[in-house]
Amino acid sequence: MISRLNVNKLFESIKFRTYMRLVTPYIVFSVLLVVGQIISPGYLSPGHLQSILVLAVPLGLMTIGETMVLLLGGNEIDISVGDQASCAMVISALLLQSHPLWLVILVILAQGLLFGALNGVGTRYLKIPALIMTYITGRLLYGLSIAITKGTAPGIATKEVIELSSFPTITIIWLLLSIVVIVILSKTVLGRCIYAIGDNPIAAHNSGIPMNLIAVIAYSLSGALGALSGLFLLGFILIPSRYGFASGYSLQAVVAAILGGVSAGRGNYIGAIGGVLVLTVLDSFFTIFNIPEAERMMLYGITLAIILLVYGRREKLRK
Amino acid sequence: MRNTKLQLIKEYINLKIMLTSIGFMLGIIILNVIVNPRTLMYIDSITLLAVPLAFLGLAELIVLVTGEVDMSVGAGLTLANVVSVYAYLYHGIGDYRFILLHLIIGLAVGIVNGIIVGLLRVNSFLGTLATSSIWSGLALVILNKPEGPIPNWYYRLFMDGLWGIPMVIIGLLASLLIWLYFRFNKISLHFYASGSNPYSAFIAGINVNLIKFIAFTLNGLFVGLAALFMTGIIASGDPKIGIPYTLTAILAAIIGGARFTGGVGDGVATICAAIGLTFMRNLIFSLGVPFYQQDLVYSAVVLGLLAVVMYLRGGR
Amino acid sequence: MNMGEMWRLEGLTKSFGPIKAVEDFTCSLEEGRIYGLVGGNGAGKSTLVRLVTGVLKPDRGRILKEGKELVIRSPKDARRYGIAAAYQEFSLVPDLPVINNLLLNIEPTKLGFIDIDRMIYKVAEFMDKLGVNIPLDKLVRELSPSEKQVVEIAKSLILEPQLLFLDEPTNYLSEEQREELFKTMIEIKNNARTTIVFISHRIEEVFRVSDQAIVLRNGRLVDIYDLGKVSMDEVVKAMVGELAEEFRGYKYVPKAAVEAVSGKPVISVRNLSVNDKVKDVSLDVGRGEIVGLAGLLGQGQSEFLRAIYGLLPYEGAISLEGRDVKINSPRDALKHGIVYVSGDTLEGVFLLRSIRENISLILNLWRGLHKPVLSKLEKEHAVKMIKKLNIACRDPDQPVLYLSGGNRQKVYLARGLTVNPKVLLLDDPLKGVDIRAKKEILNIVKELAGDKAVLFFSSDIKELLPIVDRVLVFFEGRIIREFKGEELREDLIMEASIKGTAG
Repeated sequence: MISRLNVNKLFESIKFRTYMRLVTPYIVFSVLLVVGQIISPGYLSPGHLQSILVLAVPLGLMTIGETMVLLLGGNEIDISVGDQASCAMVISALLLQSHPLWLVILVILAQGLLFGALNGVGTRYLKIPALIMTYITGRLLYGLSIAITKGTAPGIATKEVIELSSFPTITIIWLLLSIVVIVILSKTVLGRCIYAIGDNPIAAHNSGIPMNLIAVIAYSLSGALGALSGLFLLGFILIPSRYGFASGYSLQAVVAAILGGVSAGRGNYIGAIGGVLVLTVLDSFFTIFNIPEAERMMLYGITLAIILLVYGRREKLRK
Repeated sequence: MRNTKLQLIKEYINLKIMLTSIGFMLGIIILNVIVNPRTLMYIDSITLLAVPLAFLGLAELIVLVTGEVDMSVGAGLTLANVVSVYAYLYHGIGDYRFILLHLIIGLAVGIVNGIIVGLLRVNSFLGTLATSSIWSGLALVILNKPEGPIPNWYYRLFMDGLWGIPMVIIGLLASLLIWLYFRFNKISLHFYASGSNPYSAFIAGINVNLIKFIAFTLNGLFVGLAALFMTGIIASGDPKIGIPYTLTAILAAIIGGARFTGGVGDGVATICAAIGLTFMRNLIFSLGVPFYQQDLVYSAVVLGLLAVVMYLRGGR
Repeated sequence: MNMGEMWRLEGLTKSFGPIKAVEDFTCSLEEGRIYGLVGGNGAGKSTLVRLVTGVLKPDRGRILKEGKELVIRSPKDARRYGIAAAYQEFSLVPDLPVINNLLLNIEPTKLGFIDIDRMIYKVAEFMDKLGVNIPLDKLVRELSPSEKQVVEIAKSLILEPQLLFLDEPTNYLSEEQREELFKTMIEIKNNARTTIVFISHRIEEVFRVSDQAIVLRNGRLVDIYDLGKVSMDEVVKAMVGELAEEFRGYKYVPKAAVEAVSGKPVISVRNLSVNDKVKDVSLDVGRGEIVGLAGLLGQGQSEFLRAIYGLLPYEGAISLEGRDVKINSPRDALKHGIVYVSGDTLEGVFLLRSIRENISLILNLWRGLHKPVLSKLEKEHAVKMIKKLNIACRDPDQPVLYLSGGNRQKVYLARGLTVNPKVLLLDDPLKGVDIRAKKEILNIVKELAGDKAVLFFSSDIKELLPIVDRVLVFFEGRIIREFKGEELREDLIMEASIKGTAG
């Protein structure tokens, strides 16, 4: 017989709570799938499920970076990932006309690393708050995409890219990158340090952890992954319809990570994947119901506000 | 005693920062004129563009002084503009209530932000980012593309001025007077205290959370005023109009002396910074930067300015 | 209610988590008297002040004025009842001018506007009477520490309070300024019949100006003494308390290894100064030597250790094994083989991470960021450490959050020991740790001191006596006395700490 004391202890144990944080988004995902089937029969068909696993990838990649940055805690956040993708889309479309794919990939990765590192430098060495700094970087990337294409249409995706962006290739790439980041976070010293910084920045400093360097690394990786996801987005829509196409993804990446249980020093990408899946499914609902961009924006804003009410409040002054 | 009063007033209007900002503004204007002498002919219409930014800068400043930030000023402006024009075009509200509507929406936005950040104690960075999504989305729902026109009398106001005085003067004067009214009011001291050291303010019996709520409410009023002028300038309702303004407003407040940690900042300096930044955009244009490079150059300049200011301040 | 009794504090209790800061404090305060509130480290003095001024909410207890219970829900309420305080860490707003700090939340207005003339009028006269000469329009952030202290005190006086707390008001004042303060205190006590509660670590000051002494120990009231009728020694003894059971009858036993301290000192500090908190301190520590740092809290011991570890900027010279080094950050310190363990485990321990992760952190850092975690080796090492330090836990994978304070401290220490430091800096690590864990930690330090130089600060020096070679007493940033050999007695050391003199 389980006494009441034992059950309470169970609920309070960290292991249990960590487990729940990880599993909750997947539970929500499953529920949503069922809902999807109800409102639109055929939702659960293998073909459709496949398409979910494909559509989720760009957000999934952006959320990898976002996870690493959010784990650092202390107001670190990256809202330039979407703009990294937008700019990469445009640059890819431009360069693919006359350059091989591997070169294009190198270029956009360089873009991602460079502007990501800029984020790190701005937040850590210039002490510009992350929200502001990454916002500025986002605008820079937006401006860069217009400047590089001189305001004209950049081009169209090549067959290679389209193939890369379809099942199963794209999903496998996501899987591989997921494994890499999960390994980095849980099995390398770098990952340990990231968690340490998020858990207790004072102790991290006192232990000699190179906090600025690690922040720059996290932001750089986030930028690179954001840029990479742009290539896949290009594979989806073939022609970039406008500049700043993927800007909205930044906020989604944050929400996905938080839904996946990521916060300062806690959580990991496994949970965030669940968050990504949830958001992708919700997005498909929006499409089914023909909810236009405007209402979607509002819905995300409301969701973020609610999440913040649970997770992000100031301390009381009088104890 | 006479000396103390003078010194105090100089402290209240933050003389050093004000002069730096005025210098910045004049410097940019002069550069502009040198590069393109025809600027002098358009100086009033360029400056008019600065008026909404000036109000948004003040809105941002008031919140920054208390140690918080507002990422939704641009979105709030958009919403006020869109709702009012919509009300005119589809519900025929084109009289004095047209003006009132701008202010009410602005205040409403401010009050919601104030409740979330001040009373519910949510982190202001993310909280206002969330609300900005809501305002932007709402604006797009109401009007999904720019629509016009605006009431004729309002349009004429911006063409001919109010009793002969051009709206740009009215706008700048209004912003200046409202700021001074605030600054020499007792409550501004509580704002600065709450941002500078909330614990000390608390010990003195100041309700810091309430102060932050009031700050966001006043911010909303300024957003409404900014929207009033923006509507007059673009003579339409545009659901995408406010997007670039949030960042620029924050920058204006920072050049106006504000710090992200709160406790400092001057309104006159912010207004001058807003004018300077507006002419800066024009300068980039005048320098012959091709249109497709303008966004990039402008963002780069913004980053550069921010970096310089943060570096000089030791990034507190 | 007695004649003249104005204030009564009944059963005030406040805990922060498991720590009882103030327990069941009851006493009456009469008007027109100065009470010296004294007590050792962690006695609960500052907490008590903040309970009465409305900054903290008491868990239990009430506050009565003239027999009527006061409802204090915020500092604003306390102010209304005539309660004011000058806080040890100041309650000033750095970005406002002096005059606005003095009148914070009580600014005179004319139609809602700041009435500058009346402000200046009110304050100028007041500051004149106090004999203070600080420009009213200067921003507080531009003032020197002593000027800030003066403003803080002035601020507490401006509303003519009936109950006034002065928490360490003399820390930054010069001799003459202190005299002025005492004069003013006696004046307002006599003329305005104010009740003053005066806290100072300088015991002679308390004796000079107070009528009675309220002695606190471990959050509880020990007794209230009439200073006319009792000697300073008696009060000091009350503060120090009975020797704990196991240390009673302690006799110094010379350590065999002491003579082995020869050759170059492992760490040598010359003329170290840290801000205002450490003044010109020099010392040497040899291999295998354990040097205890004593003295009241806040006399610079922490700052001294933290400066050596690179957490605080310093002036002066530090050399390790003869070589001069400059230490600018914990990374530098660690590179040179200096390890620091803070008294606040929250500064060093990662609660959400496992024990073995915590223990291996620094070592892992040195291996390299890109290196993989070697789970097996880590676990083995953690098990070894757990055994050696007797860390009470389920297994090495348990998050440190679940460990008690003492065991967390052991993990913190284990992490430092893992990298085999040359210098071990211990900053009051036994604070709040249970007796058994204390003993275990002390044993480990004694055992492992063999090839290291150890600087050990404890706010409760008697615990260190069995393992130290000598004790240096800090007072106001300087080392005032060294105790060696037979002199290593708790009572002698405590006396020197409290009196602040070498004699």
